[in-house]
Amino acid sequence: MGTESLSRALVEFFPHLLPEGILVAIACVVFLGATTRAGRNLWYLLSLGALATGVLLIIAQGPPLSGSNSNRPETFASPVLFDNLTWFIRLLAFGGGLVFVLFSWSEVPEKQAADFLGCMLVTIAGLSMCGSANDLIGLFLSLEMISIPTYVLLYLPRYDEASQEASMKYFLLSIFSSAFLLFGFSYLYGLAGTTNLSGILHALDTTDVRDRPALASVVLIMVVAGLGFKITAAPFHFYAPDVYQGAPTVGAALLAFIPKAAGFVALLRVLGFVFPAAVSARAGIGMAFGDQTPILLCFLAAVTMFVGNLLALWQDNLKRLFAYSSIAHAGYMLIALAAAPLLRQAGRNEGADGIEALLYYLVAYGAMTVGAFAVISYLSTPERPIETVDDLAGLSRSHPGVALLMVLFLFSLIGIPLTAGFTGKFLIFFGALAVPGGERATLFPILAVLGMINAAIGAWYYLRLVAVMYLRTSVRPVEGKWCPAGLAAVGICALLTLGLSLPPGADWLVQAARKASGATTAAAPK
Amino acid sequence: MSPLTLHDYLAVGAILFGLGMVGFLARRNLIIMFLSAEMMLQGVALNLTAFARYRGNLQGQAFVLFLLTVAACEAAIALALILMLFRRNRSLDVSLWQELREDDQPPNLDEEPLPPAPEPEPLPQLTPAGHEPVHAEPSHEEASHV
Repeated sequence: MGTESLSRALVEFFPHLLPEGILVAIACVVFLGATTRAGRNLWYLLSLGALATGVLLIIAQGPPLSGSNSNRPETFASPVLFDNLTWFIRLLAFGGGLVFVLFSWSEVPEKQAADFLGCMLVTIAGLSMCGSANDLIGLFLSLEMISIPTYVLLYLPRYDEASQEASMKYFLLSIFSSAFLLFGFSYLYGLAGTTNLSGILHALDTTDVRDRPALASVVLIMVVAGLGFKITAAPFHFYAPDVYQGAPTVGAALLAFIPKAAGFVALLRVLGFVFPAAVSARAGIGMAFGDQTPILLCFLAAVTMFVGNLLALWQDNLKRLFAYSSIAHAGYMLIALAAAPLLRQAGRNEGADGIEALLYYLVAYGAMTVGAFAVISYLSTPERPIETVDDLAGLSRSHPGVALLMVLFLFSLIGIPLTAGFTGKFLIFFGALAVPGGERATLFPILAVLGMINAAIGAWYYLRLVAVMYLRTSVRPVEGKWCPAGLAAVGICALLTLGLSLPPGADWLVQAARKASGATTAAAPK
Repeated sequence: MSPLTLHDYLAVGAILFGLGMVGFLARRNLIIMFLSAEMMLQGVALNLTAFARYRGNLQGQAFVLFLLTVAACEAAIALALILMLFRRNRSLDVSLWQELREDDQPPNLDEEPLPPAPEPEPLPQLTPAGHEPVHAEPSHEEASHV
């Protein structure tokens, strides 16, 4: 691990960060250029072009060949890593970014549009870099690259009191949670003696569980608490409804997707759910901090699902409702994470795999939640904003097409067959049921049953929205506005929600998620 | 006197972190809350430097440098946000911001409100001398937007 291998690693790995670098450079151009040239169209077209080129390049480049960078000393020196998970997250970030740029096109006032766009590009680059971080410092910086622009994003589009309160709440609680995460990171560095994630996982993996100091559990709790804030896992979820309610719609959609995706990727990397190929993972995935990890995640998952779904039942404000819905969906994803170690230990690579289900669900969740927010944003006008459930009344008469798409997103959120939400829930619950018996034989079937009960509770409040749209008439019909970009964002989300549920799309995504989960490259312990 | 060991540094780091946490949860002034959160970060920075010395490499210190940079960025944003909030309410008290809450929940009324701030001492008044120059009225557009 001398200077020589570090410099070789830098030369070899930094070209991989080129897409993110270009994105940040364009963000700088937008920030500076907007001071001389107001208006949004030029800047939006520029960043749309950059993101679209990025997506095409990433698809053309394809995931790295398995085992291409295995067992090389550079892995232990390089701050970035380029493996299948990196590729997957990068595609997710750039694709999601494309939708968000279209989405925000008409939402943000002309005067702040360019600043908003610049901040959004930095967040997207942060999510993308989060997937390639191989170092605690890099991981922390990429998470902050997501948080810091988000504080600005939340209050830029509006100057009212609610928006200011929301951004202040998010800001204070976000730095509070970052402090917990960092405290965990500092002990993790002390335990392993290096900030390199591969090195840390290697060090933890090669020491026996009994020799490990008690600090490891402190690290586990602090890291889960810090990242739990980002993924809105209960009991770290309390900020979400208030912040979503006060934030502009596009800000709420960003918060519902980008920090959550980054939080899950960070959990996968730090807790050793996805091992770099150079580390042998003797104890199995997700067990780096001892075998309490799955149990902790199980409890988090159960509490998160119930909190999200039960509280969503009482909501009348649409953004609060979707905030609780996004909490509940984080709970479903935590089931997949909790089941992953035991599934992989059983060596059932052909059948269910927790991480594969998690990544699939992350994409599906992103498509359907962002789609629902995009519909709300598309229908809102300053004269007739869509704030509460009742505002949607009579939508099927005034906007039959958009109402149909909204129904698609809601059905997907419920998990009705032929939508991506169904396939994702199926993968997760099937995985939890497939956990082989052992000392915790009953835990995972119970968790799967709890998940199904929650899916049923969730159906109640989603169907209430459908009923309001189709069965009730409104005194004042929804006006809506003609905005091709917003409609395009809704359309892309709808295509993904449908396309990813059926064989060609679903197979492709499952294959990509399986590669990203490392199930085929890492040697499964027998 | 025995030399300082790793444990002493870690204890101080944990104390700083804990003090910051208590301060964040107990105080109501926006600036003090932010400073408490910064104190938590300083506890982390102390941990990292102590571990860097104990482990004999510089990665921990590099982490601290990045940490301080990020903290500085956050301070810049914090001050902008706090200023914006102060302009609206003319107060730094966080309990005044309760617009966002569950529908059926009453606002959290303060049972022991803070004592009213003492009136600032009047500035010394000097008798103006000479002719008063002509000055333009500040426009309302500039004053209302930050």
